[in-house]
Amino acid sequence: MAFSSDLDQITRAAAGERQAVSALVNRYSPGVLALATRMLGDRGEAEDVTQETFIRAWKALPDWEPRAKFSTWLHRVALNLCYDRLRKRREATMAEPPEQVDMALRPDDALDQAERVKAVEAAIAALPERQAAALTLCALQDHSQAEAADIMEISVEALESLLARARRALRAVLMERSEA
Amino acid sequence: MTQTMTDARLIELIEAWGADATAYPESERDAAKALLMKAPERFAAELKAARDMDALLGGVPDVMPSPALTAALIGSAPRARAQRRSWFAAMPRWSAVGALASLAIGLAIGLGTTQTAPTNTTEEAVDTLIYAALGFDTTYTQEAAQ
Repeated sequence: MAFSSDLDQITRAAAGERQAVSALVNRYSPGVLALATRMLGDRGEAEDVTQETFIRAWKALPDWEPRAKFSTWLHRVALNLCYDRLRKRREATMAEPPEQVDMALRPDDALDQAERVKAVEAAIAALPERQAAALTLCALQDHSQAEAADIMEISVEALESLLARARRALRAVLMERSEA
Repeated sequence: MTQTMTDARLIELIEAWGADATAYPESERDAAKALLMKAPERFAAELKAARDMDALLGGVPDVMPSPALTAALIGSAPRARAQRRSWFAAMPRWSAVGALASLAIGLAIGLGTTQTAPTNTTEEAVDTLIYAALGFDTTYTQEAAQ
């Protein structure tokens, strides 16, 4: 099981064993990076968040107590770092509202797959942060409902509500304008 | 356990979790599937909208860390501290040195205190020298030889 092998690897990684460190990085960095990328809409910032997340993890490992899954804890740290960055970004742009970007998909075939993906990624990053987090964790990553709720520190019912609103908002931005 | 599933609740599930019923909360999954099988036409519009959204979300590619980021993450982990040699671990090496030093000192003292009485043969002289170096009284040996 991932949980028990996590404990073994955490113990060995805390002792500085490179193989265990590599295993933890290879297992969890894609999920953390993907979450940060979807939340922030910026690869460079997402990489910074990923590095900060793992630095915090290394500091926490020697005193690690398995009250939560390592994966859950790690994603929660990453998510909180993203919230911090989004808050600072909002504060910085209060005086200067960001330029409105048209993210609607067009009904004609001119929009190729790459543009479609870009539009969806931009629309997710533009969602309210908790909606973006819920959608990323549940619809784009393989987290169970319970784990996603645990990462976000909310109930499964609240998660469902956020998901429904996220999908409605995405639909409004991406599809309904193209249908008009 | 059979749960009661209403049209309104099924629509909420579709709007939150998408068109694939396997994504619905486990406690409501079977009831939702049963209602969908029973009257699919009642949910056709919601299912179509959810499928379109699922397809868009499914097209979003995975994000993979670059080799440089992976290396930086691994490099940011604390390295194992160099293990200090314990006193016991260090002992064998020093004990060998000590033994050699003791032997050398013993030989030096022994040579310094060797009687100068003549010996009959070179072999006896060597024996006497070694006994003396090891701290034995060589007087008796010499007398016995005479």
